[in-house]
Amino acid sequence: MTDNVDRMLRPLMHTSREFYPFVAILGLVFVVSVYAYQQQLVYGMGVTGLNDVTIWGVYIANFIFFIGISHAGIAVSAAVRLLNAHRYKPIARIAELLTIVSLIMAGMSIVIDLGRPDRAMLLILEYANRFMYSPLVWDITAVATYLVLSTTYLYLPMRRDIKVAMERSTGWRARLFKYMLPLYEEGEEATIDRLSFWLAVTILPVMVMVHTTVAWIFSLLSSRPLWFNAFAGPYYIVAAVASGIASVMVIAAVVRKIYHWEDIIKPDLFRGLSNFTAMTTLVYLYMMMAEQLAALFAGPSGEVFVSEEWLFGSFAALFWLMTTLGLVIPFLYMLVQAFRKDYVNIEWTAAMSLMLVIAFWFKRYMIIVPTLSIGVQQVGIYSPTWTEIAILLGSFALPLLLYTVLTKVVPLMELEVEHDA
Amino acid sequence: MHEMLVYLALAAQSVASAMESTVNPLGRPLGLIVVGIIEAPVVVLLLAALIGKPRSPKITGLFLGWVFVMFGAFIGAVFFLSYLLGIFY
Amino acid sequence: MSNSSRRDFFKKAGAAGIFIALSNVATKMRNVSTPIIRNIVGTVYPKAVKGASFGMMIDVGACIGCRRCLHACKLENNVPDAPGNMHWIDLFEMENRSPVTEVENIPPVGAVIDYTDSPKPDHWYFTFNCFHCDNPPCTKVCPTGATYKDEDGLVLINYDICIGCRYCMAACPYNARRFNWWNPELPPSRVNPIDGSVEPLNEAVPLRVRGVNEKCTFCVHRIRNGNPVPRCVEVCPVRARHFGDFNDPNSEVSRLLKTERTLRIRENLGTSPKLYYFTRGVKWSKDGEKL
Repeated sequence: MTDNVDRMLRPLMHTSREFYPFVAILGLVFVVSVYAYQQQLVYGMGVTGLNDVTIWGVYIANFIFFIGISHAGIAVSAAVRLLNAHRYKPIARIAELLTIVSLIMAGMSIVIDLGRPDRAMLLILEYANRFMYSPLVWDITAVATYLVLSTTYLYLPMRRDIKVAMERSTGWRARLFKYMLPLYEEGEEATIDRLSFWLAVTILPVMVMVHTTVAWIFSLLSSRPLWFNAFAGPYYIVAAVASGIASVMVIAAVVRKIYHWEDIIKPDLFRGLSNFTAMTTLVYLYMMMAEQLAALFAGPSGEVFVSEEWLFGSFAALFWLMTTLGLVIPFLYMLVQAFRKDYVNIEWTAAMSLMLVIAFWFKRYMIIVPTLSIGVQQVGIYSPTWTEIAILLGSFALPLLLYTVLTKVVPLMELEVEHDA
Repeated sequence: MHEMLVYLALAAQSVASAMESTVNPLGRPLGLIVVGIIEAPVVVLLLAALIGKPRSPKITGLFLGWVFVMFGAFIGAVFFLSYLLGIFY
Repeated sequence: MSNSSRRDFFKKAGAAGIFIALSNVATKMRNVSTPIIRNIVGTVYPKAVKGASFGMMIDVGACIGCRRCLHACKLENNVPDAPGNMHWIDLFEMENRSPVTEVENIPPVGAVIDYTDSPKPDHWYFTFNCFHCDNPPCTKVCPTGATYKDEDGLVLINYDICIGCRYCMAACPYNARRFNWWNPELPPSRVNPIDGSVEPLNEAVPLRVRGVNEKCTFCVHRIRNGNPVPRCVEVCPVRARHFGDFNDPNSEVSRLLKTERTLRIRENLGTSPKLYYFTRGVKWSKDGEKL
């Protein structure tokens, strides 16, 4: 038993040799992206491929993508707490960390997209005048609320694990954990459990609102074909849940492999998640079909243009690759796996999940770019420049870096798993 | 208390005048409803933290303190970033 | 909070900030190569004319597509040529058979932007700038209130508090807004490519910096200071543009609105634009001669 707790705390106590080159590579990519961003700051947004017609590109796609990923963590861990789904407990904290890291990245994507990021504080100073009208301000409200609540939700239940880690460590680690545990009192667990339950109850509706407000940024603009859409909220939420759970599966499979937690993160758990992802992907495909049908069947001219550009025009290759390779094939794989009794291939499930996650990034790109650049022959053509690609790569390196560093500070496994086992 | 009531009356007045969509080119203040819906669960949470049982003042204080520190950190981060990037402009 | 007190606040907050120590680094990092005259930076508009509702009416039959309005506007409003040829007024060459409904998409399907000779037989010219809508979608979505509708119906931008999120551009159904993708480069004086006249930088118009939004202001510095019309109306050789106050029954546009059959673009969106289109028949012959 003691042996198992030590194994769960191992990422905190020991750092393997592979850790440093991994961090170094991620750091290098991040530094390159910082240089690219510096170029953008000094010369202006013109270094991107954007223009007066295609005003938003990969940064905003990135923003929706990271907001989507951020849903997974809370969905998993609130389900653990509210539905008593104890078997998912081993990955609850893995997922919560993913939530926080990707929420930070979502916020940064918005700042990167601003023409004058030095005035970002005006979003807060002008809040009282603008929150009644601007959907962007609603979204900032929702994201801020969600960030505050999810860090609280991460921290409060973690206190007991920090306590255990503190007791088992010496030297600077023990001091660090002591600082991470202010106001500790004996028997606080019952109070914290109650608070955590209410936090879970609170976070679920906030989570729904976060992605709904992201959808409303686009879907309230009456002049934009395929954005102006009353079911945009549910549509975006389904995408968020599917891509989020898929990314949790990827991270969980990697963590399981690296820390040799094969017996703690059981295959059964992947099976459940992959079944759920298959279901949400199917719902998403259904919604996509409904959207395209509404646009193509005697739709207004703008809708028809954009939809034809998606299906048969200049975005067709991207669209069909994304739909078949990224959505249909992972869905079919997970479906077949669901019908085989007690069978799950974790490597393949993780690979399929990764394809799903990548496909959902391109889906967000498809949402943003064709709607803006369509109907324009000469000036609307958009292709990302090296600056945007570098910043994009950096925006994937940074969350991985943050995540890797956080695994050295935060107990990755809820130690109660031990009692349940 | 008295100033509070005056302030509330003024706030209600400004909302009421904003509701008059013909006067205001910005339309109806629908954000009041949206932000209300976003923040309503937080009110439930605060109530639960303050009146539910079991509770201890230490943990409630920790919880509220954490929430405020995190909120402050968010706002602080935005201001920090603004000033930091201000050196480019 | 008024503009000046807000700026004061920023100044004080900035002075308190720890990054004041970095000011030396800052001057090195700034892109200072552009020859902007710094003394006219800062958004200051004249006071709004009470009770007015300014608008424009464009005679598409008269327009010969000469682009005089476009270039005069650029010089009048300090709109930069480089990098990126920004212009507040757009002109499209349309084929005669292209129906008016195709104007629903801006630029319209089949429109030619980079035409060289005009007027061309069997073509008409569609021109537009900011529509200064009565119910502007751009002002609703602005997260800082930088773009707003003033009391005389002008939709203006406060360049000092624009954060450059470009949400207003996404909301605008007319593609009328422009973004400063680069640092605007403005020499002290420029040549108008149409008539060869040399004009200095206009001191009455605030300069923009990179990363903020801008668009047609109906020459707010002229019409609020007693000059009856914007520069584009003044230079039009065929009087295709008419400007005035719709609330004044004796103004030219009010009379035209009463007598002519007019059309507004994308009226189904409920924006009620104040740019009306009408025609009294084609005013020039097949070889471009005036009838």
